[in-house]
Amino acid sequence: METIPTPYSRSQLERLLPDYAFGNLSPEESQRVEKALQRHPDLAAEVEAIQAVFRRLESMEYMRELERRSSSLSLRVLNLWEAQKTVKSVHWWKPVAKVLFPALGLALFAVWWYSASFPPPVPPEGEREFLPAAVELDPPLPYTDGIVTLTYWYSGLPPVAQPRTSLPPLPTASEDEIGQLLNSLAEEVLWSEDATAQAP
Amino acid sequence: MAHLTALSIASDEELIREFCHGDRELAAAQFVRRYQRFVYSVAYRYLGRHEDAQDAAQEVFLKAFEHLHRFERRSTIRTWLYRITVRVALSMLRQRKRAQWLPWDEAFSGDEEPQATTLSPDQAHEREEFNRYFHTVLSNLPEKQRETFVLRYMEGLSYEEISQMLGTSIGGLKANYFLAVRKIANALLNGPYGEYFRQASQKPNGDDPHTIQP
Repeated sequence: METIPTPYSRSQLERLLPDYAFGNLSPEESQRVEKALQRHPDLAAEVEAIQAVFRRLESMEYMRELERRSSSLSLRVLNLWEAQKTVKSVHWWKPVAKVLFPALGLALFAVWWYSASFPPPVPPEGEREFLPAAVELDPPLPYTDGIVTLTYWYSGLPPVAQPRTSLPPLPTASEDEIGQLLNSLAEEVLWSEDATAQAP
Repeated sequence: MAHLTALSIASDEELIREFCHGDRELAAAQFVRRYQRFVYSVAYRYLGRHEDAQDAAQEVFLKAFEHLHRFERRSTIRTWLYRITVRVALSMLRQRKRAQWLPWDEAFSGDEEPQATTLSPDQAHEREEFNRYFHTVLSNLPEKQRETFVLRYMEGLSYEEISQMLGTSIGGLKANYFLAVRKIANALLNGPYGEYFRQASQKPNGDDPHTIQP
């Protein structure tokens, strides 16, 4: 059995009026609107007026004006795009720097944090003379010194390794002791040469 | 300089694919040509000045090129562009401290371009004047009504698409559309060009013109 659609209320009809007036409804919907308009002659008159006014409006070509104004956009946009790409390729280092600088900062922070969290053991007073050879150089290597200074500057700790101010005294020996040592060395050399000559 | 060669890419999907994996420049040219009027008219409605609309539209397309490869297809390209355009236009308005549309005298100072039509100078001037007036009529509408009217009547978009763009229900859009059409018709019938429009709405038997409820 075919169902008869309920007639549109006035507010429903109003919502459909522009689409009806501009021919955007389906034939079925248009028929329903026409039937409903018979019950609302004021709205029917309004539809006619709207149609007439907008027909005139169409002839004023408001949209064509915008179309004309925007017609050169594609060329402008593409030129600007090209220019932007060139600038981007010239400034290739910018993104690299964006990554590199924070990474460097992070690394320095990590060094500082590590130094602050795990301070190196300070040797007891009596053992301070047994220090790494690198820092005992006199004068110290400027590069090594710089790195050591920078690291300790960042860590906020006093340098553990201090350049030695005096060297421990060398052991002394008499002339006889030296002569005995040289003789024993010469014997060892002769013995090893004989052993090499007798080898098959 | 970018070269514009004719390229016919049927759908937006193909256009995006071509832009991401094919001939980027040709796809970009096609993309701008397809949406330039739409983007321009949206920008113009918000900014009210052709110079500003040009700048905004350029910025919109450059932003679109930058992000097109990440376009998620949750809406149409047109909806996506609409949102970018409104955002760019509003930001330009904020920058220039122009919270309201410019008065026409100011808006049109110095950005006139010669008409490339076959109209006589008088006709061209008359049309120019009318277009200014009509823009004022549009600008006096509430934003939702104005946008609904322009997107539906001038751009011919579906209610579904407009609903996505404006975030309004379809019922609400239809009501806004009706109110906008009614107000525009009233303004045209009773404004400085009223005589011209009243003649159009005159009944054939010479009776009074049709009336539109205010």
